[in-house]
Amino acid sequence: MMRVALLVLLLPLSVVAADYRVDTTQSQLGFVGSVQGEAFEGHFSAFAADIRFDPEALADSRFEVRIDLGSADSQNEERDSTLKGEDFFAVERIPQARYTATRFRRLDADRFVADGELSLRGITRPVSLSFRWTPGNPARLDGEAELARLDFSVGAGEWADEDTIANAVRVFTSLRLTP
Amino acid sequence: MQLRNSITRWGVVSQVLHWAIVGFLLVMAVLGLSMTELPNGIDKIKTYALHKSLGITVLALILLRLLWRLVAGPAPAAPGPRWQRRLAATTHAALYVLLLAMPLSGWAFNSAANFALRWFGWVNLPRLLPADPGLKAVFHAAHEWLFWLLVGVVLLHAAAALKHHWLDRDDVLRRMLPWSQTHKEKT
Repeated sequence: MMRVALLVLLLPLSVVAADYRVDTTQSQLGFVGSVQGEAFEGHFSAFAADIRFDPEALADSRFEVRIDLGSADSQNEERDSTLKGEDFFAVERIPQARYTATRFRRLDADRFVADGELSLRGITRPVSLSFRWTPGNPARLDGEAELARLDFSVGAGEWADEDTIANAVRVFTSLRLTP
Repeated sequence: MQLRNSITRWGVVSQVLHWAIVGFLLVMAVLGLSMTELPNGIDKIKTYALHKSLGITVLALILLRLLWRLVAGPAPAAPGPRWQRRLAATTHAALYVLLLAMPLSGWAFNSAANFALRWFGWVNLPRLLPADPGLKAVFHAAHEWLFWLLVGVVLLHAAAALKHHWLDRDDVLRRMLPWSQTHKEKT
């Protein structure tokens, strides 16, 4: 009896966040930029994510996302080839971007913020991803982050003109996760 | 000088529209033929943006011109043999059709290519078509072929005007020139 009570007491402390696999066929990762005052949307068709998350074990949660920048598609051939070129994503030099988060905050019942870091083009900067967590099997994660492209020297130099290409870029993701 | 068209000459409105469109077309042709060779960069985006803004402006001017033609009526056809009058009417109709088709095909090309269309940095114009590589290729080709067709018809139109002016020595060109007097006005 005493043992059971002890076990029950200790149980919450020993919770380990669950590891999930991303169902890539039903998940997406994309971005919205703006050129000449008009928004355009792009998607990465190739990315991988290791998601370990439990709303009750934030300290043990961890995101690691690797994005193949060469898979960017904004339904515009000229823009996509420029985007993958040296001045923007520099895909040939650094083919992947990486997002890692180990610190999480709870906003309300199902909304959280991951205070992580994004490495893009060899530059690492803090980027916060706010997301809604829908537990279950599959679990769902729907989130978005706002970042400044020039923080990562994406389109630096002559492309830096913010009147033509907005500095702010919104990144959005929707992940279908199976344990 | 009168606003409306008369028996002897084109009025101010028609003349201004005619020569403004000539000027725009020259600039558009130079931009259109040279801009594709520009190195990729912000200047290329801006040059394309200028070409598109001017193209939309030409579209508006052509529509104004057609509207004015409906309101004020054209100057009467120049006398001449039947085949010449027919050819002139056909050429004028072709000019109007091509001058509408040029900007519209460019707009459609731009839409299918999934580029923004912002008129002189002020307003974003809607898409005529969804993004589609197949349609993009079709309208790219159309925009180019229509241009060369337009060049041909414009040359025919100009040649006819000069033939009237120098060979027939009539008022066909003069009545479209703001600074020159027609024969009827002199007498």
